[in-house]
Amino acid sequence: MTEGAKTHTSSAAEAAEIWKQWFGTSAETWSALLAGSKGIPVNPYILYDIWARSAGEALKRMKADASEVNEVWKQWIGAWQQGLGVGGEQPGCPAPWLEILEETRNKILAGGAMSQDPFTWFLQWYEVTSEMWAKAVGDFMGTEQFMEAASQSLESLTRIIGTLRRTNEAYFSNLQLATRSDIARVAGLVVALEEKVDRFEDAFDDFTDVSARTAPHDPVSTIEERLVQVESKLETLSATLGKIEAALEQGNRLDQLEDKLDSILAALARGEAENSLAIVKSTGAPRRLSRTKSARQPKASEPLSG
Amino acid sequence: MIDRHSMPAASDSESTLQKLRLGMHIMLEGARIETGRTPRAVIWSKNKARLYRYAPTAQKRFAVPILLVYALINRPYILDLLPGSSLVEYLVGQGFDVYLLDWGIPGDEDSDLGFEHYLFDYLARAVKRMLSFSRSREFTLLGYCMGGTMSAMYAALFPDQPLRNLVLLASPIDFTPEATGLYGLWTSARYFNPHQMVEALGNIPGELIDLGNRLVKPVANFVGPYVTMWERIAHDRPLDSWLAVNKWVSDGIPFPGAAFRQWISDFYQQNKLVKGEIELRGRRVDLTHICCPVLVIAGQQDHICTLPQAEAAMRLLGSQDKEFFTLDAGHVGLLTSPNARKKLWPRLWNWLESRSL
Repeated sequence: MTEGAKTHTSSAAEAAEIWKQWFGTSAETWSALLAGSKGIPVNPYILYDIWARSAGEALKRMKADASEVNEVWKQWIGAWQQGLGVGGEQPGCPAPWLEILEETRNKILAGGAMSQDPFTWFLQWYEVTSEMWAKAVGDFMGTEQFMEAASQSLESLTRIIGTLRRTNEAYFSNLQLATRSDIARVAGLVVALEEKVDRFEDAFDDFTDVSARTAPHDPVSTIEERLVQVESKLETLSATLGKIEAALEQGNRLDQLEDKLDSILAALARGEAENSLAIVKSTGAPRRLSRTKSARQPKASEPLSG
Repeated sequence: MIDRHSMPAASDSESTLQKLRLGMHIMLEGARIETGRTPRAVIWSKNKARLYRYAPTAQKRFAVPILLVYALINRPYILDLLPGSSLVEYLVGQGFDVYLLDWGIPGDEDSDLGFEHYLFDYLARAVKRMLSFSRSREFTLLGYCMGGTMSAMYAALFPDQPLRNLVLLASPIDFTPEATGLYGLWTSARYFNPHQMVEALGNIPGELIDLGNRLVKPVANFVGPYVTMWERIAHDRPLDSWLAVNKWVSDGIPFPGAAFRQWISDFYQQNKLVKGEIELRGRRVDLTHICCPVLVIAGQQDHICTLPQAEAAMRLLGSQDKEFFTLDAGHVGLLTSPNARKKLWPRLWNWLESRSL
């Protein structure tokens, strides 16, 4: 026997065993649910069988006398109760379920005549019964009993599905056919590649953001820096020119002052010359020293030497 | 799909038969209707995730965009169900810049994705893309259901991000058994082994998640919807909203195995979020790090996220500006009921208006 065949056979045996366990668990669950079973194992489908038989009876009666819908409803409920053990013919139904049926019948009959229109009849039935059923089902689903049964069922189902998947994988693998896991692996590689591309994109975005905020070697910022330097130099130059201008102004003032001094000196020289002439006229002897002095005094219009 | 508006006038018996045909057709074929009709565009994608931006229908009035984050189960079009019954359409019409992160439908290759992947690799990147696209400096995060739990974890893990406002809509934070009801009982460590399930199934099928949600109130969830359907058919009432909601309820997606394992074990069984014991990539999720304004919304009839589960955010988050608002609605009714349109949406807009300029 080949490895694949052995695997297939063992998987099939495992599946059959799991099916037996599931059926047994379900039978015990329903038995516990009915509570009055007193340890007698119950066929899980017995309730559906009872319902189908009672519904058939009710339909026959409705066909016979369709005008008395309320009466038919009472008879249908009665059929249910009889089927579920009020008459002692079947294993007992828990009291709460019988109470629900009783309450349902009373509420429907208290609401007046039921409509013959099937839609309206169905709506009336739902409005009357939904709250009770919801409460009953909700209470039951919160019990430890239900939780244990549901947990076991889920565990069995999970094991069955897991086994089926492994069996199918092995089967298709032996046939050299691509399985879901093979395709998933290839898809995973594509996803991983996309993740790498995303990381490149993120790094590029971060680089762009950082460059936009701080770029010391960026030509634009370099030009900006140079412009700032040029501006500062221009300011220095402007300040220097101002100083020079001030100095020139001072120089002009000095020139003016010098001119005035020259005028004063010229005036003094003329005065001295007139004094000398007056003396000469009074004494008759030239005074060489004064002329020599006056000859040596530069004229105001002559440029300063050096 | 049978269009009963185009059916000719009929006698009573024919009318009854037509109604019966319509109802049976829906029960056998399932609810079918076009949903998620608000125009949108994909601005970013990763793996199966898509970041959508909804086209503005009114002049943009608010500088702070809104990022909607939904759960990892079911599809996010519950936030944009039908024209006139769409939170997205409402917000866009009020002048908000609205984005939605759709996680997508995970495949077998995504069974190892846990909350750390979704928060660090998906949501964080989506936020970055949204801020870049919208050219805004801050954003509002609005999480619904598990999406709200994930949004709170994101806000706690990334306090340096420019999160302006946080809205938690029907988001469970506290998972103590007394607060979780039947969910807590069924997922207790005594009866439920998530590791075994993930090992056998990989991703948890959407049908199984849906079954678990419906079993919390089996009569109302298995029988009730069809009673409502038949009642509407019988009295010739509009069916569109019923079809849309039931389409969404049945449109479950697989729950990635690793995330499912964390959700049941760390949240439901050990309640680590409240205790501050959740660590993702070496960083502890500390809800006290959340300091932005927070609006917590819960449904009084919500049996999936009960009032205590949602209200726990008020005492655990570190924000000073916190508000708790309840509505007489169930988990889905918070988005789809007429009460939600009349009371919740205007309240949400009112709260966001002064905090989104």
